Amino acid sequence: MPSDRPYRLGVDVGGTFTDFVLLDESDGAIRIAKSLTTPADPSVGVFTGLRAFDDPCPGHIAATNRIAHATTLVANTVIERKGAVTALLTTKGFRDILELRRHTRVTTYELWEDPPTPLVPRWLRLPIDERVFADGVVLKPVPRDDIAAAVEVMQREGVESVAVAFLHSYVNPDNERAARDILAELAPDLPVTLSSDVLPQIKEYERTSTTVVNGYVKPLAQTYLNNLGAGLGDTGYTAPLQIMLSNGGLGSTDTAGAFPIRLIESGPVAGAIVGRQIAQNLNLADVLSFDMGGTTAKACLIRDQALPITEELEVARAKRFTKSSGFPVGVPAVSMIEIGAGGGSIAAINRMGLVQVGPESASAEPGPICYGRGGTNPTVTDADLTLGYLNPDNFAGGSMALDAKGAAAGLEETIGGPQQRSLVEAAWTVHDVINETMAAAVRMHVTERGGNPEAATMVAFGGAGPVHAYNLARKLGIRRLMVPLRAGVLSALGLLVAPPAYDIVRTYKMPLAGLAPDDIGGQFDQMTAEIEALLDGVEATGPRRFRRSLDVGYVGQSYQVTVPVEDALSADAVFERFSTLYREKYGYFYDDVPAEVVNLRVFGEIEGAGLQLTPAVGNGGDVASSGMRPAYSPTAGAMIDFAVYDRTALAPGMRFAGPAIVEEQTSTTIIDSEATVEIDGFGSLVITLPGETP
Amino acid sequence: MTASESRIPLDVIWPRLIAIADEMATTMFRTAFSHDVVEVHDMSTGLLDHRGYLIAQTWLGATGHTGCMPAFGANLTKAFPPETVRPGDVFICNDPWLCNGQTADIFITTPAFHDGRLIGFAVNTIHHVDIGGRKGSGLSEEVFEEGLIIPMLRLYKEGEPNEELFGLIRRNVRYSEKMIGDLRAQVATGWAGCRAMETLCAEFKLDSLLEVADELIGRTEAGIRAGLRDLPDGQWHEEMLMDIDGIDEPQPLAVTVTIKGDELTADFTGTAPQVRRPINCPLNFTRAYVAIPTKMVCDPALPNNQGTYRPLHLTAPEGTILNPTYPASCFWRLSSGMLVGELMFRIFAQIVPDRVPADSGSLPTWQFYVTGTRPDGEDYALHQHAFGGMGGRPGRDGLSAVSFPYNVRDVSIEWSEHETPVLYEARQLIPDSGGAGTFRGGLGQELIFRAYDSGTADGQPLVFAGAAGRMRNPPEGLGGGGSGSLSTIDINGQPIAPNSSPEFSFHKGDVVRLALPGGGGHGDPAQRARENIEADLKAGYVTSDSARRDYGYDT
Repeated sequence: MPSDRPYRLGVDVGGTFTDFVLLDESDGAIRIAKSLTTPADPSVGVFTGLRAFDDPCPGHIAATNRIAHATTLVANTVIERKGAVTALLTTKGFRDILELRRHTRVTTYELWEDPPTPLVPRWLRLPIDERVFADGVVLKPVPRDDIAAAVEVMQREGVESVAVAFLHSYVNPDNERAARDILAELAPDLPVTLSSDVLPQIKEYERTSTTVVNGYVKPLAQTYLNNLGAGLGDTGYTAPLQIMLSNGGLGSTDTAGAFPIRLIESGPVAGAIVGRQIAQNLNLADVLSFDMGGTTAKACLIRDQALPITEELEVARAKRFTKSSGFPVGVPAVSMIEIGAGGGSIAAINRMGLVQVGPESASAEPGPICYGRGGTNPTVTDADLTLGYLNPDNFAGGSMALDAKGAAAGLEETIGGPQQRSLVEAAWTVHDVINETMAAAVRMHVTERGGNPEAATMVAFGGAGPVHAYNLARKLGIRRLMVPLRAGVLSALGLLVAPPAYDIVRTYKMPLAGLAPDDIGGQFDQMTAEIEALLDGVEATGPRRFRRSLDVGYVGQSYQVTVPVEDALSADAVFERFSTLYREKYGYFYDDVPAEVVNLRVFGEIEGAGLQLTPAVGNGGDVASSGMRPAYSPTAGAMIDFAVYDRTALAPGMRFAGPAIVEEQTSTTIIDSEATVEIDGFGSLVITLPGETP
Repeated sequence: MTASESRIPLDVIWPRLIAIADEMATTMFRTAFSHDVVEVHDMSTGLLDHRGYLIAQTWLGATGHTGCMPAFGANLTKAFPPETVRPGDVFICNDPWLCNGQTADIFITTPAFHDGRLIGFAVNTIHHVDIGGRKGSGLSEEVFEEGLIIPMLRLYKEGEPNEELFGLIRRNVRYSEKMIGDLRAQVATGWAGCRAMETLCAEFKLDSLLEVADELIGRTEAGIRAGLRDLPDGQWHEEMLMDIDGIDEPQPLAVTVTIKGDELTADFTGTAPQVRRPINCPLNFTRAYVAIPTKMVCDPALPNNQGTYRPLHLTAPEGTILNPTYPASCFWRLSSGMLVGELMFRIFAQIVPDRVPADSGSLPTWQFYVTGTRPDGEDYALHQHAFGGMGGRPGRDGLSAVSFPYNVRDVSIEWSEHETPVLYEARQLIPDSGGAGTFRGGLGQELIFRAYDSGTADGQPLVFAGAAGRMRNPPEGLGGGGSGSLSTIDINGQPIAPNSSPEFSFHKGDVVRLALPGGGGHGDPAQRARENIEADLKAGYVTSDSARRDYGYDT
């Protein structure tokens, strides 16, 4: 890269704050800034916040070589239902696919828990008398008159975007394309989304839902990205704007505008990228990234240094964090779990007479009681403060004093009193219950991926992550825990280490016995070419790396394992690899059941575009604690003295033992007794938990 | 701290037990072979303590399965007393009278041990893709026609598979690879559950789950009892008629419910004698559908477990449709059993009309097979669920075409057409099918299908067999609301006679239409908000004729 343009900029637009991180590649210095998000036009907040770098880095704007951007805009548009007036063209006889969903309710026993109403009302779900069968045969072509009639309705109803989802278009997209061509003639200004472009996969509800969500957010996303790109240009940036996609890769604004559905996880995914970066730096096989902030926690199991990909994402859940209560979005996204568990999670006694924590959150306003901004419900942060885990005089680098008395009073009143528990006991229960909630979700996530939490290294970050990581790791039987530098703002760094990357998945059902290597090879080549074109739009230079794989399962089994294709395709080799991977994942294997290919996958990225970090050489040595303070040790079952360390005084190679508290401007790490800590070459705390498995 | 040290950390253990059941479900989804498990979720998972008491179940899962687990637990521990149970044992059973009333649902149970002591069982069920017999025939006269009956047996003995039993099963079922694959998935699911239970006991240093079980069962029980106590004491009676193949007159299902203090007794005296058709409902399933509406009304929020069932008492004369004796046929027991749910909702509608929906067209769920032959002579079987509309609820319209209260999913049209050569022409809502009311009944749906010509052997019939209902007596409204639509089945426009277990054949070129009933309306239609009528008209949920006729609405 040109040395006269040494800066790399990451901009993460969140619900409340916009985070900025600026890397100076000439000396590796990382600078951080924050501004308030401006929801009406988020680019306003972006341009305000950027000025924070003017002083320390004069001329940074012209000297920036890359801008990576993450945004929660797309997810929030759906959650707040602020998208475009959208119509859906459907196969005649099937206009209710979107409303019928899979016919289930949200919870089994509750009579009033309903799924969300569809994004497209029935009067805008317009039937077209066309039909393709599962074998790809066109039984009825698209009648032009039906499209014309639909256009009339759409114009009358002020439709701003249209989704087209016909049955079996994943096998044969001809009818959808014919509909698109007629629409282009009759309503040339209307943005069109085809299901066969967005998600060429079987299962009509999931595909239709994905297509509709894309159509619903498309006009807004395009406007926003255009404004932002133009604004950056006007400000003097010459570097291209790249957008963080849900799959953990960076894409162009063109792709992001055409398929905004790929931005659903744009914000949260950055944390998982950091986890992968650490796995790569240290060559770890299993890393569990754990990111806990004010309202939610996210976790992601990264195996073999590759981001796990799922197509089972959901957006805008009607019942927060409950599966099947939102709109399915089937595009490839990093498989992570998001739980309503954060520092602001509210604790209360529920109807079972148990302490329940979350998913309701006191958020930033009014916030926990101890923030002294009018919060009256005790939260996780109040419990953490009471347990001695947080320093009331040195929170957020001393920028904010915490009200320990208020926190204690709130815990007493809500939990201690009614349950006849001591204050410490009440606080510990809150801390322990939220950890249990997270542990349950993590176990589920790990089970789904066929992994074992005990074998993983946990990498913890986010404002509350390092406070909870130790006791969470104990619950999960995890032995090694790492807390990277700048843990509190780490996820924004993920923007700087992500390479431009795309992936494409295509349904292709075929028994392994009848594997047709040439046909599959041809399909792979075609998918590769599509990705090449997409990558060209991001960055024309740089060597590319492609990974091809097959999703293979037993005939009839609905879940598959992804089998990498490295050499020439042969049924035997694929079966061999499948059997190995399957056994690793599930612990058994059937040699008497036939297997089949279900999907083809191609993943392509620009190699070496990510940030490479080099470790510092450790000189070891002892480290002095800056003092002691009492905090709760679950091992001792009591408040005991913890040694307090200042993170800025820790250097690579240093070692010490728990019980310890490490304070840093943006987070605090808790380490119980019997654990040891070492500082690695990247400045991370590497914590070894005591040997006994819980 | 000392005061609490003896206290069990139930705040953490109760959610953990439910999470274990959920993890078992996850393991099942990842390892099962049949679409019915993975896509339809016709399965369930749970945990029993060493006495066989249900202590936790997964958040999803078919209500009929979970509702039968307490009774199953009692039968299990009777067949295998604790002293006979060894680590590595795996128990299997599908006896309709011991499990949940149907041969296709197989229960797999795995004992968990801690420090050499039995602490409980992981239990799971799957509605299997096949169990042999006449493939869901609506004409079965005895349970022997409904496939293999497996009494309480060991599928594994101390870790060793019972290959002879596997061989017997394999030889008796269609699609045996898939079926055996699902059985293996059930075994893996059981082991996953046991491991997690054992870890939990080690982590919290529990000698047994006894104390935990008593505490959480007690709390759920107290929740139901509190709900019952809030209701007035009294006695209420309800009856419904159901159409039975081969019997001219519709037959009664009857219940008399007595609530006294915090106990509820449901007496099914007056219900018709059992019949030689597969709509008889063994008592375990009847009990499940007494419990579901009771839980929904009395205390929906607390996790379900043994405690839900303790305040409930059943009396049902032996040899009746709702308590048939062996060897009655019972494959489609959901067509009578789910009407028990409706009877209970109607009872609660008499007591607390502001807390229950009107009659629901989704009771019963229609579940059916279409079997046929491909041109190369290979047989296939399509399996599908279809749903009517939920009744209008106080304050809100009923949901349309919804799995209420069952909560299983459909088979997607694309998947169905990919697997079987049956072409769907429609799956959509039926306008005007929801009963009129201040809060409209949910709409029923229609399914229209025919043989896909090039995938079907010439001259061979296709056979439809399944569960249905509400073809003569529609879902009724509540509090002045109108009835939902009747259901119909027709072939080329010719309706079949009302039936709860229809079976008929059709041929290439024939078009079959199933029209499922809408839910009843709740409250006087004249009170319906004008903007809701207008929205219904615009969406086509209601036609202008119906708006005028049923709501007196003129534009």
